[in-house]
Amino acid sequence: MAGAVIGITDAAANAELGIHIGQLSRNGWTVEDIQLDYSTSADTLAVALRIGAIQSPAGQAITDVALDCTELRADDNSLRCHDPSARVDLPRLGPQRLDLMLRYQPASQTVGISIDGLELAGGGLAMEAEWHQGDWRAFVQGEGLRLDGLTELLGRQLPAGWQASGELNGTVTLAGRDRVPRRLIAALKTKAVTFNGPTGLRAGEALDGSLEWRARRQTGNWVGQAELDLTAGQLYIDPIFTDFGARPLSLAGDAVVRPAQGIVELLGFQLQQHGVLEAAGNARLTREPPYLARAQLRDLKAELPAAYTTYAQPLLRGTAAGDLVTAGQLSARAEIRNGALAELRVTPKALDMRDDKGRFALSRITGDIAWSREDGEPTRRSVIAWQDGSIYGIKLGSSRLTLALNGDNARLTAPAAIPILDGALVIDELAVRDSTGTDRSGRLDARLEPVSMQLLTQALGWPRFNGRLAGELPSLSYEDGIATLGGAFRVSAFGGAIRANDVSLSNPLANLPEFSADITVEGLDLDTLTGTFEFGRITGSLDGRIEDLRLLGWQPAAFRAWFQNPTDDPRPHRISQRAVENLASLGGAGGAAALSRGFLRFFEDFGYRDLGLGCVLREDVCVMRGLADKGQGYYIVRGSGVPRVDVIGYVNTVSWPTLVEQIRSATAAGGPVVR
Amino acid sequence: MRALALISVIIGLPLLAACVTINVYFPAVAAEKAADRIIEDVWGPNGEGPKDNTESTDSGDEATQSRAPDGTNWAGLATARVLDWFVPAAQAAEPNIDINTPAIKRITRSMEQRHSELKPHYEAGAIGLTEDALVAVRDLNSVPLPKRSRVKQLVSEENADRNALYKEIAKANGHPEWESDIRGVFAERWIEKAPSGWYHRRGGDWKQK
Repeated sequence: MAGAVIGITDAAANAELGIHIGQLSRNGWTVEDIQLDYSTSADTLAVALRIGAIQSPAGQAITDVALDCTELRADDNSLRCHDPSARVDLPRLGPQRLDLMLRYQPASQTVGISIDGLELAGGGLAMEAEWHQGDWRAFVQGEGLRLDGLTELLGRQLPAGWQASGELNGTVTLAGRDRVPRRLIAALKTKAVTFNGPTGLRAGEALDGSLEWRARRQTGNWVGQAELDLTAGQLYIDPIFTDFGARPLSLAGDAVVRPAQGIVELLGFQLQQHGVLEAAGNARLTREPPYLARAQLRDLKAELPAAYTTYAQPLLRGTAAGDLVTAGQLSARAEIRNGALAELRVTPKALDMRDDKGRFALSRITGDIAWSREDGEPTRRSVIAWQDGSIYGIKLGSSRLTLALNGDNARLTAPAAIPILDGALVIDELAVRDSTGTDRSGRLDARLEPVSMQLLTQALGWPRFNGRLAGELPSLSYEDGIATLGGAFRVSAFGGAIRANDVSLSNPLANLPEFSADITVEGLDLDTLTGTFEFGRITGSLDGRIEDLRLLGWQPAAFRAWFQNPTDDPRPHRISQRAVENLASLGGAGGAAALSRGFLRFFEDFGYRDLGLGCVLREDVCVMRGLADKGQGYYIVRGSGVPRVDVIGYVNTVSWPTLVEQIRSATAAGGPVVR
Repeated sequence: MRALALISVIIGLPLLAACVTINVYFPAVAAEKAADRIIEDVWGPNGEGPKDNTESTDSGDEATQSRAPDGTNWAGLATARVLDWFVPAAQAAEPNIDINTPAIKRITRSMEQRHSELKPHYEAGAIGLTEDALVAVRDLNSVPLPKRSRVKQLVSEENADRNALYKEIAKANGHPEWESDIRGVFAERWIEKAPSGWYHRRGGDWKQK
């Protein structure tokens, strides 16, 4: 103590006492310039305290403290300062004018203080505290506290690139004994909380929510119940977006907070997002990565399509399941270990899904799908079944697959038959490997049991073919985005055989799938073929090759094609007027029109020796050739007998789109008519 | 790249005259022109940068371009341009880059259709051009939350198309091994033709044009 001045005046009933202390120091605290004035009048006692500065050991100063207690009243068991007001200049908060109430009950030795009107972070704070022989209780109520102001006030800086704003309201009650807090009740509400992470991969906008937490302290941990409700606003945690205004979320359960370890345990919680999903489970959250260290989700029920569009689709984009229209329900249980999914069991219930691009659809899916992260033989077989479906418009029948799923692997454990139209795809072996989406590979051994070409072409919207399609798909493998057929795919159609060798398909799911193959045809019955295409009737057999066929986006990009009659053709060779005209127009021969006008129009068809036509396609241009050169042109059909009709092509290069258009109009029902 | 082209032209000339079989060098100038045509198709006139190509002050790999420190190599550029037009043999030694195949047209069309959706995000700096001739997310904070995932999807679709485009151009010209050269030319041209205000990334740092 240094330099205390005490002045006393006493004028009849009124007494005044003034004490001034220059400086007080203790434990690193310094209080300077203290002035205490005390006065009495008839029945009241007034106290006025002025402090120039209070210096904390950390060097922060509270200056200009003024406390006026104009009416200090003592009744039977308490000493209350009525209507006091305080003025204080606080570090970071600036000058404040506070409503202050001090109470003292000598009988129970209870000290009470309440402070109201503290202005901070754009809002207000009120506090109440009471001490009673070592037991204490404190109550804080905040209103309209701005988050950015609060972080500034706490001297905390958000990590680089982060921004937060919004409002916090609520109350916190804390009770304890001596220096140890023992009970806590918090009821906090956020209003319009908006935050942004670096590069915008984590962000929230206008989030309204509430947190209620009641806990007791047990051996250093807080044990109690917590409930979190998010009722408005939007959240984006890359790549998942959800709108709590449309789909509010609530999470309630027992919570154990272990401050020393930085761990929060949620026990027996109920999670519900309205119209999306609900689940019960346990979880362990950590302050450090992986944040969600452990979780068990039981009785997870997902509502489709909301659960798919919100939580599954963003993760599945770029895969076959990335663009689905879903309906129905599924229940599941899941286990998360070390921040990653470790076990998953899904039971779809009458689930419908179809690809939005129309590539495939499956309906009434049921089953029991079990997946485990562990490598090795899975303990449980998965079953997946569907009532019906389609692929590229081709109808699939009811099927049931049993699979073994674990790690990055999926494998068919028993041969399966998937009905396709009136036939079936019989899968003997199927194994797929997908390591985090980058290294996908697979293997399929299957055969196609005869499918009616008529139904197939109808489903694909092609000209109607007759015959049946059947074939082996020997060891179809998929690696580095390329599906390759190990052997030849054989199809029986049009009374002959079609064989595809070196078949491969690149980037099947991409914008521009690339298909390549070498195709050989043998002994096709021209009568059936031309009958199908309404091209004009031709009889005979047809052999041919399409070499280095390359389709991009299922459109021909390049090939070398050649078709002709086999030598020693057992079938008779006749060609109709219309077929002659159509063939001639493909070769660009104008002379064929003469056929219609001259005496030849009296003949319905003609005999011919042989026919042959080839096209080498490159860059949308088809370079045509025929059986042999004839002057400026080439023979497409060499006639025989009387009358002899030759079809000669004169055009060597044709634009492919034009050629396709010509073939289309030639095969249309209302094509050119021979008069 | 232009310097390389110039070298191949100079080497090519006497070789041609002597009727010796010539190795085909990567036709950098032709590739640049082809890239510019595609970029104009995809971005349209609005997406165009400065018309004057000689104004390229900050493009390409300094080491291979052997440019003056101020980034401009007027003499070299002019020579390359003159030779390019003047010497028919240069055309023979430097095969054209063909971009008129149906596949390339199809990819270009798909990119063109996507561009109207991507453009505002280039302008806002949400996405930018990368040194490997692709597109990357820079800062999604300018994009409303419900749209962020869509922007990421667009970027990955755009990159799938771009990768297919470079591969397809190399393949269509009979030199699949040119893919990385073509990518290099495109990387430079996308950035060169981008309007000012757009972002591009080099060595992990984003720069605004």
